Amino acid sequence: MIALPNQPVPVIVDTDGGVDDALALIMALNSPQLDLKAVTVVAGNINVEQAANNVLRVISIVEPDTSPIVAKGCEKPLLKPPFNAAGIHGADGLGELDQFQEADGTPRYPKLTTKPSTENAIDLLLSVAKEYDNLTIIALGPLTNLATAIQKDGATMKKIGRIIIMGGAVTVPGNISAAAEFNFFVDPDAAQVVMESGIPITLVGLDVAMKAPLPRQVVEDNLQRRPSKLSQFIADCTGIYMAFYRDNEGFYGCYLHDPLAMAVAIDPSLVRTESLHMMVETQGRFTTGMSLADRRDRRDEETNPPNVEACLDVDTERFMQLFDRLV
Amino acid sequence: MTTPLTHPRIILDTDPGGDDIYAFLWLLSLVKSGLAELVAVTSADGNVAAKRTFSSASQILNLAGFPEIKVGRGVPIKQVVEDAGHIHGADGMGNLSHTLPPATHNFDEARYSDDIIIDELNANPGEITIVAIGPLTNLAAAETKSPGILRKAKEIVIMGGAFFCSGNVTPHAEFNIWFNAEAAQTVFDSRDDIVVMPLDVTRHLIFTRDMTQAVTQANPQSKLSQFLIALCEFMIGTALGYRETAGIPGLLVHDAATLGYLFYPETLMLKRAKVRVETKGELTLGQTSIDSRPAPKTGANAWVALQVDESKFFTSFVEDLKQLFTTAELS
Repeated sequence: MIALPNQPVPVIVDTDGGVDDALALIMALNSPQLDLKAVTVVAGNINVEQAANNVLRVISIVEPDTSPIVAKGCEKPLLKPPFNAAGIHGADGLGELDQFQEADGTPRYPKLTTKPSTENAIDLLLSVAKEYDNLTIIALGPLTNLATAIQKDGATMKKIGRIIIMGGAVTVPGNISAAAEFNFFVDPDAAQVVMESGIPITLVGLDVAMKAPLPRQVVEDNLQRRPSKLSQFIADCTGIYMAFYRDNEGFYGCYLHDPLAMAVAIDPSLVRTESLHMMVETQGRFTTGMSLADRRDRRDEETNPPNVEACLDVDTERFMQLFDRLV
Repeated sequence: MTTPLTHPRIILDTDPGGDDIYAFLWLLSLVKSGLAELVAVTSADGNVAAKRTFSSASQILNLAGFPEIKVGRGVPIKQVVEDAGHIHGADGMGNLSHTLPPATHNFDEARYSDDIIIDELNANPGEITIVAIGPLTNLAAAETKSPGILRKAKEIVIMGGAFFCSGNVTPHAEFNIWFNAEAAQTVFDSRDDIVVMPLDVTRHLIFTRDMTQAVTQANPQSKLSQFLIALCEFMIGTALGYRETAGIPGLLVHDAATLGYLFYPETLMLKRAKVRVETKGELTLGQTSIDSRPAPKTGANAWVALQVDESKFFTSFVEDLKQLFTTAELS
């Protein structure tokens, strides 16, 4: 499962097409260590159609030599009603790009001509998982696609080398609710399916995401220092997202949840992890989506063996250097 | 200088329970010293069944020389869950009940605990402190029967919950709250100043074998001392078996924290909070939580203890117990 030093790891990114997802995707497209085979799209931050469009938008900005396949997946959670974060990421999930115009009045982000694949994300996940022994999945949105694939063909999914999940909160409060992080909150049933799947999991939760802040000033300085289509896009798509944090948490910037998950895929030494047996509450009045680990001294690790490596600490400085390099 | 006005007049709601007994004895030592009045003991279903907790309360009162204090019988709980006999012994006191004089209060004729609470609070509004160290069934029953009654208590101090640490009975919940989560929610909804002693502080309160020795050494042959020494050994056994004290030979005296709050408040740090109880979760049933995100919130309903100075706490606890034990009768 550890890639040989100069051999890129085959990777699928599963995403719900929001703002920090976009930043993570840029890292993946620019990273020589990752061989991005496909991007599977799930409903979450925004609906699946728009999310797929946002993925294609990012690809059109970065213009990689080879574009990954983009496939649409589940439109709603396994059991819970749909829930989105348009209020945080913008009505299009990407900072409302249609508001931006060039000096001559033309739209900066004209309608795309590219389209997602006709193949559905679940079948694509399964066919790629069959092909490789060390496939890494980087899951940046609610886990509906992965859970559906596991329920359809668990044996194939068990071939996966590792799933790196952006989700959960072990030692810190939630974000969308006091107890839960957004991805787990939107589809707690899917999260629990993945926890029980037996596939090796690294959990990149709010515990470390809150230690990876990106101040607005840095984004604007970057645009000044290195003007380009990419730095302009980053400044544009993060506008509404960062304003949300400014107005609600007093921090003008954002947390790099998804980029951190991507960074862990590239360089696991950036984080300190703890082996935990993780479960997700699916029925609570206040606790739905809460990621739960038994951390008592008396815990029974024979009955409940650890099923995740939970990231509890991060080398923020080294992470920001990696982020800066790839973005 | 204490005056009659500053002596707490206490109703102790309890489900003895090894650590309940330690707290009970501390309270009785303070009563003996004239620093508190024990109005009634309202026994509760919890660590062990209501009939058992009732007779344990009666036995402890007799043992310590207070047979005249009235004891209520616990309101039955609707949904039977696991009890804690495996921690406290089947009789809730380390299987030692047969070594003590029998209970003198009559269970079948006793008044129910919720009625005692309602009557006492109506008769003495604003004067009575309720110290609740078991599941909150009785208090919730009183509030349901007579809405607003709990606001007539001077103060309500509970042992329960776990906020920034693991639970005990389950990974995410503490026993008293878990045993009757809906009752707990009723109590937290009843007023805006419930004082909470959760596992966050009580898991640091280890009453050691050495401390028990210090309490009993002036009068080791008394029935009271013999009982405490044996109870201590029993409780150490289960505490070590459940890895509650990281190997230290002692027991966690969770319930005693409530008396620390009332008589030695400076040993504790409390946080004002809005406490919620999870009553529907599958894995998180009985979990208590405080919303600590930055957005504004209204409806603070509690003061939650989060830090304790154990050293000062135990110095006072041991000294107070000595008062009761040193003068206890030999047989």
